[in-house]
Amino acid sequence: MSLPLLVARRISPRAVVQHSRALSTTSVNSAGYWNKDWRPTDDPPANEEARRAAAKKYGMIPEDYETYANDGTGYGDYPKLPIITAESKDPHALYDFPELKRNYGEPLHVDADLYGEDRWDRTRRFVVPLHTQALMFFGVMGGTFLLFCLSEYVRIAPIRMMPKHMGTDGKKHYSFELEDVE
Amino acid sequence: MGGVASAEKTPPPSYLVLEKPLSNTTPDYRTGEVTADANYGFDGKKRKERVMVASDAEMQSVKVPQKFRDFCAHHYINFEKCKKDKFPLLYRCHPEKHNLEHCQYEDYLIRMKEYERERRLLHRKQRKEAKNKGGDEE
Repeated sequence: MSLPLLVARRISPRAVVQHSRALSTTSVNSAGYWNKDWRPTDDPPANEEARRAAAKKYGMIPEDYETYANDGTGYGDYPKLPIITAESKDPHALYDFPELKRNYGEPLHVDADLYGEDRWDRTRRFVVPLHTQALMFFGVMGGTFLLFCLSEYVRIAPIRMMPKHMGTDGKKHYSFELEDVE
Repeated sequence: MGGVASAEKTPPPSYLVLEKPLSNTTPDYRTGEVTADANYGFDGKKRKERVMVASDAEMQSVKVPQKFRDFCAHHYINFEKCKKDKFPLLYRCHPEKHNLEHCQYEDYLIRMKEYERERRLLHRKQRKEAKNKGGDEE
């Protein structure tokens, strides 16, 4: 592929569209200019009107908007989103922030810091399933520990020597040196 | 030392030992009992009796651990004393350490020799008995 074509693909129409979309959403999604403006309220929205306003604030359509139960966790009107870990998102899609696989104005999960590519993949499938992994681990470690415990009580090879000659056991002990004959 | 020892046979341990019972020709390594006379088979010569150099009081004052109260205890005491005297420069106690370890090594050899002697004497006894049974009984 020639260089001009590569350059042309680099600034493809799609990328331009993505870019302009990101720019255009700025004024639409913006619910504030300062951190306090983005702060969720203390309580979930009480009526339908407040609900619609809150959905707009988080850049969501009211049908998708759902809040956490008001049970003291303090999430207020923050939206309850499905858990989609970054690892399971499309790796080839065009993102505004490819490092985070995230688009501008996209609502974040409450625990979004747990679901980055560097953390946890919810849809991960192991070559060896987890229960087999656990079995292998505890099989080896437990087996070794069992042998260790048994070694205290089981002797396989006989001891081929007499017990230690102690000076305190009150017996007579002899060395193999011979006394000088007068 | 020197008192008549009542060789009290220790009861077999209650826990599981997967081991064949001792045969007639296996010396009892648990009690260390010797059937033959200590000087038997040395052409009338006598073996030296092992002498305890460190006294009981000495060992108690140094707090020698039970497993070191053997015939090398005086070497152990020397080594401990040296370590205390020359504390930071412990390499200066190398001769003392060597003496202790050499003594322990010699002790180990004596234990193995004692076992082998007993084993051979038991075999000899068995051979003699078989011969007496087969031949004319005296």
